[in-house]
Parts: sequence; structure tokens; C-alpha cells
Amino acid sequence: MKKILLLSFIFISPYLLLSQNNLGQINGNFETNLQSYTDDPSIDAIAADEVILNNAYLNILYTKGDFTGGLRYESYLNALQDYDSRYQGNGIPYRFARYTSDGLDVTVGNYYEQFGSGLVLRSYEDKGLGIDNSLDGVRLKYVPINGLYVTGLIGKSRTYFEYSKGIIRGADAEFNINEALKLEGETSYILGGSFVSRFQKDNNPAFNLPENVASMSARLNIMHGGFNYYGEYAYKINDPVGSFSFDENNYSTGKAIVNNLTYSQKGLGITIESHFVDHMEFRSERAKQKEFIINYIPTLSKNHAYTLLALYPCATQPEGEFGFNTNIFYKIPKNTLFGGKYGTKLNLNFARTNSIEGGNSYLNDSSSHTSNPFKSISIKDETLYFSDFNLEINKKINKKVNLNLVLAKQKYNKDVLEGKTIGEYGIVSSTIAVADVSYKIKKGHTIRLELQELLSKDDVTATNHADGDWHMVLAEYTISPNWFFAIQDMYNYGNYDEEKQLHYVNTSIGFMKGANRFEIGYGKKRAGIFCVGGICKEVPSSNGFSLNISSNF
Amino acid sequence: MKHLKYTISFFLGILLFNITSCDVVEGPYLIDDNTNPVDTNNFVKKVLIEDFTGHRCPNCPAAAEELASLQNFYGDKVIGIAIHPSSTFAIPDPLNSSKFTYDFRTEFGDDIDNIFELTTVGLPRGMVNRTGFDTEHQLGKDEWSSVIQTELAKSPIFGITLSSDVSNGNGTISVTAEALTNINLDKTEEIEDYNIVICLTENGIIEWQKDNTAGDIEEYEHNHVLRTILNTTFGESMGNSFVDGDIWEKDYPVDITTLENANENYSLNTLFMGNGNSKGWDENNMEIVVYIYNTNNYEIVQVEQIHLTNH
Repeated sequence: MKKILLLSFIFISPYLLLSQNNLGQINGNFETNLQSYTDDPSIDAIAADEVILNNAYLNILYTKGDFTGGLRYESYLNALQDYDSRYQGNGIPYRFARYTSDGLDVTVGNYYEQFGSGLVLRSYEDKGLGIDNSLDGVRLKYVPINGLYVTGLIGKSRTYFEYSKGIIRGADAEFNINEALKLEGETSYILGGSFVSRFQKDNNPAFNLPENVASMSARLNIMHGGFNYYGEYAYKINDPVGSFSFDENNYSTGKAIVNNLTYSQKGLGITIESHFVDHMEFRSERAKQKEFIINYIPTLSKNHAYTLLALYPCATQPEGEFGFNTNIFYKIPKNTLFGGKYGTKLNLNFARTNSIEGGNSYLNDSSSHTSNPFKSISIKDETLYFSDFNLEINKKINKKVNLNLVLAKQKYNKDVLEGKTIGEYGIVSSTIAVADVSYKIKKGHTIRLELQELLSKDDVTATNHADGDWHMVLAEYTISPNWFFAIQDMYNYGNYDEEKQLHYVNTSIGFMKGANRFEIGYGKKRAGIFCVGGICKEVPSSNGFSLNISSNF
Repeated sequence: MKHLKYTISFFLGILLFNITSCDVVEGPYLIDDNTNPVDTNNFVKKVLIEDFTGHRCPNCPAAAEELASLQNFYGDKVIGIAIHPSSTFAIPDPLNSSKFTYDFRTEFGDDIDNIFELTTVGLPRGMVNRTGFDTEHQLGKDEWSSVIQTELAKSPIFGITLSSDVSNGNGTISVTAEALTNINLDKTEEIEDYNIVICLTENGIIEWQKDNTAGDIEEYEHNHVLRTILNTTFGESMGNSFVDGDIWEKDYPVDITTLENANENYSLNTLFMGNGNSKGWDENNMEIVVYIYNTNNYEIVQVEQIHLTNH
């Protein structure tokens, strides 16, 4: 009897698996972020009329063989205060079907796509920033010959729960020479080219506006041993905003040049990135509004995780900037004088961006200016936008203690980077120190302490004061794998306005089990700039409880 | 080698696509300075732009300039109202400060902003005839012109005639609205109600304004500033059924001092940081703006404007 059972199991099981395959697979994830808002006049926080606000998402993905279908349900009842209020209500703004057949990859519905480094097209979503500019339409990908990857697309770009007026057409080809010619040298080359065009009808009777506006780029990637070079040049034809005001329509072309060089070997990594950008914001509609932006210019600065280091973050100025970012990682080997038993990790970073010579390129009936990328290299005459010089030292002291130290000097042109009136705040200079110690009490129990200090110097020529000096303390206790507790206090003790010398205390408790994660928080948040990868949004101050739940299946 | 050929022809293909599908525009870019033919009809369709602005909003002067350019082009077919809503950008400084002490805010502007929520998406923003409510009505300044084109192409369903005998702060405004077509006559459902709203605005108020290129401007000219609405923020009903030629008439008494006091009172007693510095109205710079809107969708179907005095 047992034998029969065993035999039948052996025979049936493949069919069971197969039948499961026939039905395909469903997975997804869910997230809800609930926040309560109460009035707090000391930080200008305003209670929400609704008392609580909630953003929630559910992604469902269905896969069966070469077919994938998916959708995302989004609910904003109503949107959190740091979200644009045009995210409102419920809907399924994202749905797609995709299949691959004999090397042809077809997507209809919504899709995200990036060409090269994104200079001419980047459609993506970032919930933290409230950005989702997915394209809705058709996308094809094909590999006609070995090493040649071709993408073609047509669609409209999402803006909140609507689609913008422009029609976006794009094509991209990437040619991997080594793959195509079956070269097996030490050096490999990848060439690429992209073209994106937007159609929007011209119904402006005063100005002659282009209806088809194209943006294109060429890129080259060379890898040789530990070296990696990436270069891209992008160009955009005339793209006036379509205004009736004579000075607002800029008919100049746009351009961007990106050069990145990386070298890495065991224990050492060097990155040098630079770019020149001039009038290169590309939008899904003529009108100059951030919700229409469909390209991306990477920001040249280190992405800091520590709060005070990211208090004054850099944001790319697509209308005109020149910048560079150098990063050196070095690990002092084990068992040396400075390396100690475990070695010591060092990271030296220097980033700087400034205006371009004579401002961005400009062209209309009465005046014109064309920027010169080569002149921008002389940075001493240009307006500084941002600079950051910092050193991070990471050292494992022993099996229980890990230490991370950061020292930074930053300059932040608040007027330019936050769109203030020129002369209002000028350049805020700050010196920041961070010490982060974690201590493993016993198996599964870790306590971590962060001490941060920011000393700030206002611009003497400015009319207003920035926020001044800050302390910050954070204590975090983790019981892995299920619990964490954290409390942090940011104290703006150096604010010029004594009434604003406030503590911003936040506490949170998190619980994780299996596929689910719960987090409850309470505290005051300061108004500020929140950035991811150099794309920033303004966050209003708030005071209240928060509840975040996420899970996947 | 065959691969290389493919590649080259592919890139050539892309290049060809480039050349054929983009519009490089050669100057002159300004093609029509103002050659709109004068409309000889009694009543023409006019458009209202409500420009949400504030004296501390550095990007707002560009929107005011856009409105001025549109008016320069379309003449009296484009009528403007500048609304200074009470959140952030319009808040005045205390009276003992040196700048930004004027309080441009009004109860009416705040009520309008509460419904249409323009400040929540960031200023400057505007509405063109309040079209697109409630998902596509909050327009950036560069989006105004294209909606104006669409709106001006519509035929007017009402004609408004205004007159005023206001002088030395007192008088009467007479409003006459004429149906230019049959409205709702054959309908049994989805009947549209129409409301009429009587506003006073003021031009040429010289006060401080932030500007992102010029800094803090001391003598900035604020135009089309909404001062008051004579028959409540959302107006009064004109009814819902009209035969072509039907006339609706009403007179509104005006006493500038009383109206000024009401604004001052709102500033002092209701508004955050209100300082009561909202007076000094100059009747000779004031306009009467009257609009009719469809209460189902808030869309403004007709608007008219005349000077308050000198008739």
C-alpha cells in the first residue's frame, strides 16, 4: 500500500507542479502609510481637516511563462500632506500586459523606461518623492542580432491621475561590440543612441511654437580591467514653454555632457563624475512644471544617510550647471598600524556644482546667448550652487563594537537650490560631524547610538538667516529579527529666532514577522527639503502619529 | 561584418527619423503681435483668468506678466482677477516692519481657494473660466493660453451689460444679462443652474513684491486685485431656464467705506497674522468684474468688466 502511494506520488507530483505552472503565479505587495496631523504653531504645523490622512498601494503581478500582467491600486484618502493634493481618491492608474515571443518583448499599458543615464528619457516612480511619470502606451524591445538591443516606444506620461497632453515617441539602441563580434579582449565597448520626441499641438496664435520637439543622445561605455568610462552627450532642439510673454519663450537648444570614470581594485575604488547641463529639462508638455518632467540628470554629490549631513541637499539645476563629484574608497588592510585587526574603511568625497558661463543658453527675437561648455571648466568666476567635502571612517573595533565617523564641510546656495529670491539667504556654510557607534550586547540584541552636530554660518550678504546650528541624538535598539525601537531628537539650538530653538523629537517602534512589517511613530517633523538621488521635494512641518504597514505575498 | 552593416543602417534609420520628425523653428518667433480682428458682434465670448498670487511668491510676477501679455494680445476678451489667498505667500509682516506690510487677502478669495484648492498645488497657479474642475483646473501660467484658445472659440450664451454711477465712494452698479440662446428649454434632466457674481477689483496698487530675479521690489504694481464680492462669494442664482432674448437685471448699491471696513475687519479678526492694513482703496483705479457660471461644474460661461467710476 505504501509503495503504491509512493509510486503514485512520484507520478503525480510533476503533474501537480505542471498544473500549477499552467495557472501561472501571482505575487504582489501592499503598503499603507497613515499619518495624523495636529496643530503645532511653534513649528507652523497645520492640522489636517480630515485629522488623519492615508496613502496606500497594492501591487499585483501575474506571471505565466512568457506572459506578465500587473496592476497597482492606489488609494489617497486623502493624500499625506507632503504629497501633491492632485493625488486624490482611489484608482488603478498603473496596469500593463507584457509578453516575450521569439525575442520580441511587447508591453502594452503602463511601463517605466530609462534610456542611457536618463538625460533624454527616464520614466520612473518614487513613492518617497511622490513621483510617478509612467508612460501609458506601447513598448517593444527586440534583439535583432547578438549584442544589439533595440527599444521603441510610444505613450503618454502620467501626471497624478491624468495623462499629460504631449505624445512621447522614443527609440533606443544599445550595441555591445564585444557580444556582437564575439571579441574576447580585455577591453569591452558598448555604444548607445537614443531619440525621444514629443508632439503637442501649437495653438498659440502669438508665437510660432514647434509641435514636434526632439531630444537625442549618444553614449559610450568602455571597460578595461579595473577602469570603467561612461560618456554621454545629449541634445534637445528648441523647446519654448508656449507662453504669451515675450521673455518667457526660450527657443535655444539644450545640451548635456556627462563624463564618468571609475577605477576599482581590491581595497581601492576611485570615481570621478562630471557633467555640464544647459537648458536640458525635457517635459511631456511645454509648460514648465515639475510634474511634466520626463528626463533625469543625475546629481553630483554623495547621497548621505545621516540626517544632518542631508539637511542641505544638492539638487540638479537642469537649466544650467557644471559639476563634478569625486569619491575615493580605501580600505587600510588588516593587521597594520591603522588597519588594526579588522582593517579600516575610508571614504573621501568632494563634490561641487556651480553656474555655467553667462547663464543658460537663451534665444528669442531680441536676444541670444550660447553657453560654452569649455569655459565652464573655469569655475572660479561662477556662482557656487553646492559643495561638499567629507571624510567617512568606518572601523570595526572588536566583535561587538562598530564605529562610523563622518566629518564634512558643505556650502549650500539656498537661494538657487530652493528657488528663493537671490540675496535672501545666499550661501549657507556648514561644518558637520557624525559619530555612529553600534554595540552588540548579545546575540540578536544591538544598540546603536548616533551623535550629530551641525555648525552653520550664514551668508553675511544675505537678508535672512538660515536655521543655524543643530544637535541630533539617535538611539536605536534592535532585537533581531522581530523588533526595533528608536528615539531621536533634533535640536535647533542655534536658531537666530529664539522662538524657533526647538526640539524635534521622534520615536518609532517596528515589528517584523515573516512577510509583514509594522511601524508606529510619533513626533514632530521639521519643514524641509527631502531628496532622493538629487530629485527633491519640499516637506511641510507636521506633528502627529504615523502607522506604516507593509507586506508581500 | 554583416552585423556592422545592420548596425550602421539602424543608426542611419534613427538619424533619418530624427531629421523628419522634429520642428526646428526659425525666427521671427513672435508671429502675431496683436492682429485679432475687432469683433463687431454686440456680445462676444470673454474669458476670466483667476491668478492666484501673493506678495511673497517670487515666481508670481512672471504669472502676472503672462496675464498682461494675454490681455495685450486678446484685448478686452481676457479679463483678470488676482486672488491673494491667505496661506503662506500672502501673509503680511507686522505693521512695524519695513516691507510686505499690506494685507491683500479677502474673505472671498479664501473661500474660492477653499473650493478650488490652488494654494495646495503651489503658486503661481490660475484657473481659466474654472474649466476642468476638479482634476484639471489648477493650471500653471504656461498652460493658460491653450485653454483660452479653446474657450474663446465657444459661442457666448449670455451677454452682460454693466453700468455704474459710483463717485466719491457711493453709487449704484446696474447689471443686465441677456440670454443669447435658448438654455435648458427642452431638458428634463441635467438642468444647469446659472449664478451671477459681482466683484470689485483694483489696479495700480503700489506695494512690495518678491521676485526671483529682481529680489524684493518696493514699488511693484499689483493689478486686478480682488477687493470684494458684492453678492457673496458664489453669487446668486439667475435661474435655469432661458428663452433667447430673456433679460435678467439687478442693481447693486456700493459704499466703498463699508466694504473697506469689512475687509479690514476680516484681516484683523479672522486671518492669521492679519494686521488690518488693507485699506486705501482708490475708486478711480477700480473695475467691476461680473461673471456667470454653471453651478453644476463651476464653469464660467461669460464675464464682463467696466471701470467703477467715470461713466
